[in-house]
Amino acid sequence: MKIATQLRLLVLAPAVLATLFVSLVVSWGYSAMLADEQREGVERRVRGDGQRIQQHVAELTRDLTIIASLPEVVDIARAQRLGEPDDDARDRLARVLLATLEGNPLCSQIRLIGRADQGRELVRVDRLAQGDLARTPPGALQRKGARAYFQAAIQLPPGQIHVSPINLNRERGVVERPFKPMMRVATAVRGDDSQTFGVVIINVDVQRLFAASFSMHDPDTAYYLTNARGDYLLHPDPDLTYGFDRGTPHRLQDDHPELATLLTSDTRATLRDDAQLEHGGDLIHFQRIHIIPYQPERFFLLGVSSSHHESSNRANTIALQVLTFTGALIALALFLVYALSSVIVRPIERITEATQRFAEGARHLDLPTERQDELGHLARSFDAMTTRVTAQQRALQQVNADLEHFTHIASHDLREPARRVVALTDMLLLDEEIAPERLALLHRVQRSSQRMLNQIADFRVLAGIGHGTMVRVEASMRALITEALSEFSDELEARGVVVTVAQVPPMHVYEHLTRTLYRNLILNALQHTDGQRGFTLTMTCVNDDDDAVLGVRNTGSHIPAERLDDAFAPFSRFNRGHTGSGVGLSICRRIVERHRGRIWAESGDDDVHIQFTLQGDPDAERA
Amino acid sequence: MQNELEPIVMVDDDDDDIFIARMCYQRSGLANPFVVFQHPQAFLRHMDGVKAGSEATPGIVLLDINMGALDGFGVLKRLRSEESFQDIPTIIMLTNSDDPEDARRAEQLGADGFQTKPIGISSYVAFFKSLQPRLIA
Repeated sequence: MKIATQLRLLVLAPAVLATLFVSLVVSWGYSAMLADEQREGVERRVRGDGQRIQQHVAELTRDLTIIASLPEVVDIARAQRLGEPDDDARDRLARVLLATLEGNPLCSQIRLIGRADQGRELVRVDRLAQGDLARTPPGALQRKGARAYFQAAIQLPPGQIHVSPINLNRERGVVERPFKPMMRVATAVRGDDSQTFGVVIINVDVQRLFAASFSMHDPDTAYYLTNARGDYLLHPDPDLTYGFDRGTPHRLQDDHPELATLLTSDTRATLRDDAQLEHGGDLIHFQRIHIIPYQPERFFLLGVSSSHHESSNRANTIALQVLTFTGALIALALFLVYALSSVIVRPIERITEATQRFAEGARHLDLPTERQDELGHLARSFDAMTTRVTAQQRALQQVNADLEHFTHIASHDLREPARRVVALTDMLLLDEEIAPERLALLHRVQRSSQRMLNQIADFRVLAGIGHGTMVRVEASMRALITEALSEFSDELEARGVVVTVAQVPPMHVYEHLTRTLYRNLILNALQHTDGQRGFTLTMTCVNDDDDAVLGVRNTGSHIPAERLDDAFAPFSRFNRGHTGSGVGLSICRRIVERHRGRIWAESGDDDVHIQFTLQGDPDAERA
Repeated sequence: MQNELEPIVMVDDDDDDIFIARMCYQRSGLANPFVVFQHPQAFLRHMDGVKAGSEATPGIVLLDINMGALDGFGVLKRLRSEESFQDIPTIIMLTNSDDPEDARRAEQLGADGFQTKPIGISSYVAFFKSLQPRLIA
């Protein structure tokens, strides 16, 4: 990975992580805040709605108290007691009750029931189904003395109110349909003789009471209301209400056993109920609502679910905003990190490019040497180094060129006189009258001159002079080897050397160089056998194709293992012989390398085997 | 008759080389006159005479390269730059050099051959014999 990328990652990772962390914290904090707000909201709602229903009930009881103390009621009581007609008083009361009924839509029926005649109704006004108000004719008035509400109210001390449990209205013992939940508030009535004369009772239309107290139509809120036994009076699922009147009780404590304590002690509770999600919220707050201050046993449990949708929508909106803001921050961080890291990394890239270009041979480099930091120091050091290396390289090239020139001149200038000596000696030898002892001397001169020419030729090969236009040709290796051997035929014969030549296939080689290679290897064998007689000299060959491993093996000499590697160095001990140029095996290596082949030496106790290959990719060879 | 044969001209500044060449030429069996110029300037003056018609045109010129102030390449260039000598005479560089670069340069400048001076009498004689086909009979 590039250092620029590493640096960018290094800087970016903490920035992104910090941004994500902050976003998460903000998100989490806001969610917690929303949850708190949701809880508080629902508690507020329960308190407010509870107070409203209490106020409505209080108004009803006030109306009831007023009615109970009306002069018309007292007049009726006196007339009844005295056995006088009370029609007029009843008419007047009926008018007041109708007015009350009209003024308070929560009332569905108001009655005055006398104690006499088994609780006979004395005045009764009703709100009919169509909303009309009507007074019940005297002939239709019923006896209600056996009813629980009558029994309860008639025994109350003065000024106290009886509030009945809420249940479905029954007409003649049968639950009225459609269901008509009803609550009755009643109080005892006294005559001018301070005797309890009867009761005044208001039937409260519970549906209207709830509608007036609660925000029933808020789609984000659901209401739960139970009586003191836990029976549902209000529930998002209407089928679960008034179970006690419909045959199958449905109670809060059955659905939520953890809320049973609310029925036995005056506490409050908040419930998180995922099952209620479909009803508008998962947070439901329950609280006990007392109906009448002095009757603690009479209470409702009011539960309101939170407007979950609204809060979750708000949470989603905030989350989206946070996400967008986070994304924007990260993008900004990316941009800044890229820009800043580019500023920091650019000099490193410049130095890297410069080193690459220097490696490729360029000399004019763009380096940030003007910087005052470590990179500037590095750049200046590198610049100084390149200057020094370049100077050394130039000097070296000059020395090499001079050396090459010198080698060229020297070999050329040496070869000329040597060639002339050979030619002139040849001419002398043509003289038939020359004395035999001088003839021998001339032959020695001729051999020495020829050897000198050969040595010059070797040096030229070693120095790489004079083979610029060579091409590989398919050569008969056997012929080349035979030619090389023939140069030494006299010595080989004189020393009784046993020569063997293996089967060698024709190969693509530089012909002249290959001949020189064999000549040098044979010469090397002859020199290092120190005049021994009768040793064997074998021209070896393994594999019968262009990949052949060739070699020259002789017995009678030995190279220690530790010296095998430098046998091919110029002027090494194994290159030096009394007749050689000291470069024989170096030339061999040079020639083999020229063929892109490989040469190596192996040696036993009494033999040396120089092996080599001449194959290689011709395109890769040096020009 | 002998005088009608085209001369073979050798331009070389080395006494020994001239001596050896002369000896080998004698053994080659060629009958053409063998004319030697030790100084390139002398050879160029001779060629001026050839142009003027006062001297016979050489059949073959054997031109050494390494000759001091004016080398063989200079002589070759000057000669071939003259209209009369663009194709004739046949010029063979006879030199001690075996540098392929020299051979290439000689060819570029208009030489007809490039021969490294042979080693040994027999090779030298064989070289002269090989010139026979280039001479007009």
